Parts: sequence; C-alpha cells; structure tokens
Amino acid sequence: MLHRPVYTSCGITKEGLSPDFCGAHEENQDIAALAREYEKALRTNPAYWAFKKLVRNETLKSPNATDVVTLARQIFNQTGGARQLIENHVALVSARKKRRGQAAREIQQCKASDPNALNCAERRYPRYRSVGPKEQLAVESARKTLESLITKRLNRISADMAVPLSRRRTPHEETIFLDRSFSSNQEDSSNNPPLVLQGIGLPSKGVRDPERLYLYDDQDVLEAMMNVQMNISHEQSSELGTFWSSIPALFTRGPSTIQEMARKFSLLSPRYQHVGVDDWVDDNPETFLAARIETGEKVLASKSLQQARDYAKNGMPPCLRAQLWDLMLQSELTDDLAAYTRRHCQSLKVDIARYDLLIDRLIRIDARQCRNDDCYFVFEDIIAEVMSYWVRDEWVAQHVAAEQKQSHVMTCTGKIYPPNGVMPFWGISCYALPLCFLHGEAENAYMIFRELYTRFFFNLHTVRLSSTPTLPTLCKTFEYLLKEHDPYIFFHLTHHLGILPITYACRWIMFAFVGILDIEQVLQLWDRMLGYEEEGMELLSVAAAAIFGFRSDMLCRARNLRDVEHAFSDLGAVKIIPLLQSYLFSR
Amino acid sequence: MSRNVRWITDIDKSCLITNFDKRGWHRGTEDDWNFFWANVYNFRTIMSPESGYRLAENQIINHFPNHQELTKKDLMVKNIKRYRKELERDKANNSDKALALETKYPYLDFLPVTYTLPGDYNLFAEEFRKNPSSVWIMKPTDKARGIGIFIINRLQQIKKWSRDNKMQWSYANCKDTYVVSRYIDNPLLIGGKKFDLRMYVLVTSWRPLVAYKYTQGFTRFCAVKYTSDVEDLDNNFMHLTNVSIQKYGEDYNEINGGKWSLKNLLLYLQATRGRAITSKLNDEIDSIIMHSLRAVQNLITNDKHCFECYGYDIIIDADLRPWLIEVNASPSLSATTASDKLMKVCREIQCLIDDILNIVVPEDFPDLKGQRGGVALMKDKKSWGEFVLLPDVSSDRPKSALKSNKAKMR
Repeated sequence: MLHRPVYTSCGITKEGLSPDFCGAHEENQDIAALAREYEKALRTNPAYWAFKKLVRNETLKSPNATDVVTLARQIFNQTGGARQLIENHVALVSARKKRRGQAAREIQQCKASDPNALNCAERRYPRYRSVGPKEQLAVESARKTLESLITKRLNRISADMAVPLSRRRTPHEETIFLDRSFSSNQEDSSNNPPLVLQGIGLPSKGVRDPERLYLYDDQDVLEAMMNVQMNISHEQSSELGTFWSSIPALFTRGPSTIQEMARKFSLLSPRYQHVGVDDWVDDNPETFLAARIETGEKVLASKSLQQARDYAKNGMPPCLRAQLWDLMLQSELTDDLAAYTRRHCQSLKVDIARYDLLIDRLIRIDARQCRNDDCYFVFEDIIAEVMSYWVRDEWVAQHVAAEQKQSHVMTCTGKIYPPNGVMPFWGISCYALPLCFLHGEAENAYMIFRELYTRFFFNLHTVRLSSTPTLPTLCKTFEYLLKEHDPYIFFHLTHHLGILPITYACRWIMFAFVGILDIEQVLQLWDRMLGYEEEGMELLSVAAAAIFGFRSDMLCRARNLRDVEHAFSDLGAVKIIPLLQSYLFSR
Repeated sequence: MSRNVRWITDIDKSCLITNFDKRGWHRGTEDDWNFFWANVYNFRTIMSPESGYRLAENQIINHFPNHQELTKKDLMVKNIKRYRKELERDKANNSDKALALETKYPYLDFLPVTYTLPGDYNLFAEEFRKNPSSVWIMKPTDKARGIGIFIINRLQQIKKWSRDNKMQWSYANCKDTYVVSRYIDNPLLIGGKKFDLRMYVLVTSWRPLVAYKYTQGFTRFCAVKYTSDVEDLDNNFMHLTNVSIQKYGEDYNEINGGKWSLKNLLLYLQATRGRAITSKLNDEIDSIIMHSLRAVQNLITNDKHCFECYGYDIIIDADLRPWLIEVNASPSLSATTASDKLMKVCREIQCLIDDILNIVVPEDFPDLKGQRGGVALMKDKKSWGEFVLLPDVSSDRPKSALKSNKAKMR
C-alpha cells in the first residue's frame, strides 16, 4: 500500500488529539503541536461548540452525575457520536492537506533538482516514474494552449451574443429574476440564447452538434493530452513515437498491469459477495440484499468513514446509497447538515439573482442536454439548479485550488471567473446527473456533487500531473491494460483502421461512464470508486479496458468506423461489476 | 412450436409482424387463420351474435368478448364498487376466501371517488358542495388516449359544458356518457413533473383466474412542470400524461418520449424514499391488479380461445399511494420515439409481444392432438419471460379446508 494515512485506531480524548489520530505521515513534526493546531482550527467551526454543548447537556441529564469526566468521555466517544464526526472531518481535511503538500513538494523538487538527477518523488515512490522539469514544462505548455483556446472562445461568445462576462443586475431586474426562477416555473425563453437540440444521447456518447455553444469539449482535452507527446518527442523520446501508444509516456503512473490492478482492487474479487452481482445471479437475492442492508445500517449508525468506505467496495443497496455517500464524502464539520445545506444554498441563490454571468447561460444549455437521454431527461430543472449553484460556489474554487493551482482560472477585475474557478466543458453537467437518482432536492444533490467534483471529477477533465490519478494517467493506464489483454485489438484498430482506441476510452473515463452505462451500473461503479478513494478512479480505466475485452470479437471483425461504433452502441445492457471481475480475476 | 400457424392482424404494426415472421408463421386470410391480433372494434364485429362466427378449436384471438366490464371506465367503477361491498359482506360472514384475500391484498381503497354522469349528477353535486375547493376530472366513458378529457373546479363548468354540447341531461334520457372522478391533485412529482405508471397484465383464463404481471412497466411524464395552480387547470400538457396528447406539446422531446422504465422509478424511490415504502407501493399495485380482476372475474365470458393484455394506468400520489385510473384493452403498440431510439422502444414492445405469445400459444399449436384447444394452459415458468404469475388466493382454498379438517380431527 502506498502512503495512505491510517485512521483505523484513532484515539481522541477530550483534552486533545492523540498522536495516531493525525496520521503517521508527517515526518519529524511535533505531533502534539499539530493536534493543538487542529483543535484550534476546529474551534472556529460552530459545530465544535454544538458538540460541546451536546456532550454537556447529555452529561447533566444523566442521573449519576458523580464521575463527570468519565461520563462526558463516554458520551463523546459513543458509536456514531461527536467523536466519530470530528474524526471523519479531520481525516478528510488532512487527506486533502496531504495531497496539497505533496503536489507542492513535487513541483518544488522538480524546479530545484538537476534534470538528470533522480528526483525526490521517485525516491519516495519508487514505483512511480519520475517526472522531470522538462516534462512538467511540456504539460504546462499544453495546458496553457488549451486555456488560451478556452479564453478565446469565451470572449468570442461574449462578443457574438453581446453579453458581458459578468453583470450586476439592477434591483428591479433582480426582483424580476427572483420571481421567474424561484417562485414560478415558467422560464422566460427570451433570456436564453437560441438552442438547437438535434443530437441523440448525452455528450458522453460523442454526439457533436455543430451548432452547439461551448468552450471546450472532450476532443479538445484529448488533443491537448496527445500534443504533450508532440512537444517532447522532438527532444527525447524513449518510445517509438505514436506507434505503440497515443498517450505520452510521461503520464505513466506506476505499473499498470492486470495483475497489479487485481492486487490493488482485491476486494472486488468474486470471492466476496457483491451488490451488482449477487443480487441478480444468486438464487435468493432477497436474503442477500436483506443481510447487506442490515450491515449497511450498522455502518450508517456507526458514522465511521472508514467502515463506510470498506462497505462501498462491495457495493451499496440503492436504499442506503444516498446516506452512505453523504457519510463518505461530506467534509464540512457540521452538527446539522440540512441546516448547513439550506444556509449555503440560500446565499448562493442570492448571488445568482444578483449577478448575470455568461457562464450561467452556457451551463443552462449544457444542463438541457439531458433531454436527449431517456433516463435523465426528468431531471432537467434539477440539474440546471445544481449546476448554477456550482458555478457560483467559491468553496469549489478553494478546494480545487487546494488540489492544484493549475485549474482554468482566469482573473477578471481581480476576481476569479467564474466564481468556482472552473471553465465548464461541453457536457460537464453529466457528472451531476446520477446524483439526481439519490436526492430528490437540488440542494442536497448539489452538496454531494461539489464534494465529488473537487475530489474526483475535477481530475477527470484536466491535463496535468499529480500524485492522484488524472485523465492523462488514467488514459495511459487504459492503454497499458488494453495492450496486455487485447494486443491484437489495439493493433487492429490503430494500424488497420486508423481508429485510436483512446478516442473512446478517454470519453468514457472523462464522463465517468455517465450516459454510457445504465444508471444503476454507473452508481455501482462509483460505489467502488468512492470506496477506494482517489485511487478508485483507476477503476474507470479498468472498466474501459474490460469493455474493449468484452467486445473483442466484434472489434476484431470490425472493418470500418461504423463497425466499431456498432460494437459500442448498446453498452447500456452491460453489467459492469461482473465484467470487472472476469477481467481482473479470471486468470 | 409448430410453424404451420396462420396469423392475421388488422393492426399493421411491424413489431407484431416481425415476431410472427421470427416464429416462421404464415400470413392467413380472414377465412383461414389460427392466430388473430385484432383491434377492439374489429373484434366486436367478429364476435357479435349477428356475425354468426364461431371460433374453431385451433383459433386464438387477443380479446375476451365482454372485456368492457373492465376496460370501460363507468363499468369498471361500477364493478369495483359492487365487488368491495360483496367483499365486506363476505368478511362479515367470516368467509375464508375473503379473509385470505384481505390478508394477501389488503389495499382496497384504490379508486378515486367517481360518479357517472349524468346518472349520478345529484350525488356528485352534493359531494362537490361538501368540498367546494375540490378538483375533478371529466372523461368520456368510451374514448381512449386522452380524447375529450377536461378538468373542472366549479359546478358551473359542467352546466356550461353540457349546454355547449347541446346535451340536455334528464333522467328520461339517461345515457351515462361521462365519468367524473376526484382529481389526484397531489401527485408524486419527480424533477417537478407529474407522471403516471403503465403496467401490463396478461389474462389467459378468468375461471380459474390465471393472470400475469409484466415486470417491465413504464412511467410517462408530462413535459411541463406541475403546479396545482387553478389557472393552469386547462393546461393539458401539465395534467395529462397520455403520449398522444404530450406529443403535440412544445416541450415534447422525441428522443426521450417522456418515458421512464419502471426499474428507474423503483431505483429513484428506493434511494429517496427508502426500501420499505417502495416495496409497500409495489404490493399495493399488485393489490390493485388482483382486486380489479376479481371484481369482473365472474362477469367476463371465459372463452378458452381468448387471452387479453390489459394496460393499467396508475397514478401515484405524494404519499406514495397508488390510484387506479383506468384499464385499457388495446395498449398502444406504436413506438412513439424517434430514429435510433425507435429501435429500442420497438424492442421493448417486441419483448412484450414475444413473452405474451410464448405464454398463450400451446406447444403443438395449431395441431390439436388430444389437447383441449384454444389458449395454452399454464406453461412452465421458463416460458414466462418478464411476466410473473399473480398468485390467486382462491387456490389456497384446499389448504385451508385441509387445515379445518385437521382441526376437526383433533
């Protein structure tokens, strides 16, 4: 196992945080000082005081109030109590901090070290390939090219529509806006740019309407990624150009063999019972599900983050998924999530009414794409609301920036634009669609979406190097797996037909399979991804490679693009977990 | 199954013909056929006493002679009301059967309050005055696909409407042409939109009752967001889910067709409402199907040459309570969605038809060889496809009789 903090036996007392609580990852740090720092940070959170009050009240209510300290400790430590919530919060925050620290260190190291010397990252992770300053530079320049393309398109759209990037509404306009969007349901269509909806299927299916209004799409990202190769290959290339690979070697992220993946995701093995397998092949699915639900309810009651993650690795019953995902992902420490959600979204709503952003219009068009899907079309209005919160939420900017400063941030009069610091690509609302199946209300769906976005999805559409998997490394992993399992398909498609397998896989990974697989299968796959945290994103590469393997007969016989398209046309019937299992564990 | 089956149909739908072709059947003529998929109107002509037509042993047709007892709105309401009274009476008499039914299918109050007009006009007016703010929906008894439906919230509207239509209602001229039902004005909304549920039920015999439920039902959404606003009462795009109405709306999308599979609905309800309440809903839907079938069980002519697939329209309210709206005898076989999705929808319909045929057509059909003729008796579970058999409570009878015998012996 790589550097994963261990939170299994967290000892926390009322007086302070014990050493192992903070994780053993920070070398030579005064752990007590760190614990004090954490506590100080916690004090700024109203939830800290709410918990304190709760423990006090409970203690006072108790009839035998003689041994107050023990009693208070008991109440604090009880299963599913305040201690568990604080532990979860600290675990999530410190993991985020750790990632940020790592990223910063890696960049620093690269800048400082001699290009030829082994860099620190490699010493630390001997399994990972080293990334030198030249590679960093190449990635950086590809990213800059993409960013300038986005900026250019944004300005052109703004000029074409004669709409400024951002505009403060007058109080009168604000009232009208509020009346329209939050009380009545009838949208004023004159406010929206003309829209052509002729495509069939979601953007993840590769449907490209020439009339669409967008900043960039999956193809732009793929090109940026492949261009990195071009830049380097002039100077130094250890591989035979693009003959054996379409993704530059520098995106290699440790050994990517089937065996390695099977080891990493060993809990997916058919030796264990799984929701997504045993609930439909088993003779007695009801008994299996009932037992699974019982365990899940216990996990939910314990409020333990780690237990929830372990549980997720074997899949979740639909009836518990919403609560368990909340438990695994909500990183804000709060004693009342519902109240926090209401407050937060209310302030975003005020902001939506106050400012008219060009991005709002683009995102509304984007959200409307779900009309082209027979599963998600119902949620058109909810998704538009979720995405409009997302555009405004500076929380996203803070947490994305925490990951990497290399996001598509543009400053405009000293402010980040858009407020969330992310330029939306064509089809970005796809990420939020499956969440509508978990939460009926846009606000609740949004709160889980922003956590998922900052931790997972953000990595799936950016071209950059990071210690966590990102789109380029995932595509690279996919290629390795494909070449290992189905070398002939890779060769046949690439060299006989001139169709790069990555053009399909990249899109599937980028959209995390939304619109490709059936909704239930997407949720099953995401269960496992969340269970394995950021590393779990590699399951997207495995899933893509497994689908190629699954369709190998058709692909081998393919004579042209139409045959290949046909091979991937009905992936809606694929059961993804059994497919992953047979791919990873059948040999 | 034999390939010598000669089929005819008066519904020119490719999903039907494809299936017949797949089975290697041949096209027959009106004078020489084994399997007839007829529309309701033709069926009535064929079966009417005047036609003098008698079905042969090796002929099967897709309707029961007087299916209107279930599929005509006013008759269905009348029959279910009567059935409930009988059940109450039987229960009071401690009838085993009634008690067993009650235990297995406890959900009985599934019809919105309904009156037939003009016959029940006075009753209706009285009820209306009790709840002046209530909303009602008017439907012609003999039309389908949302034709002639409108929503009212004032008595004046009925009077005006009958004047406009030159329908002078009197008791002398008492032909019940409309039903008026309490409008379910708190429907369950998903994504802010109203929907109804379509379930398919296949009946192959009425006595004993042999009925199957198709597990792949679907929901139909309105394209416009729902409000209970009085001003929007005349907006049919908001209130009526019929695809035949929705497809003329501006917001109708040809690609999704406004339909969801039952599977998606259950997934959504489990996550947002929990498992217990979702399975209760499922049980209550079974209850609706069972009781509505039993209500007409003894009225419908049990002809061994006939089978019928009914389309149940059910609305679920905000408390997740299902209400029976109507039962259709001729569920639309037309595919309503566009181009490549057309294939998908057509495939769904094809699966339904394929499963139906697998269940109703006997093994050696049309060869008789000692068989009883007509529709197949209950076949092996393997050939049910996506259908599940609805357990008939009356088949429990021997068991309970056995029990009481045992009790006597003690």
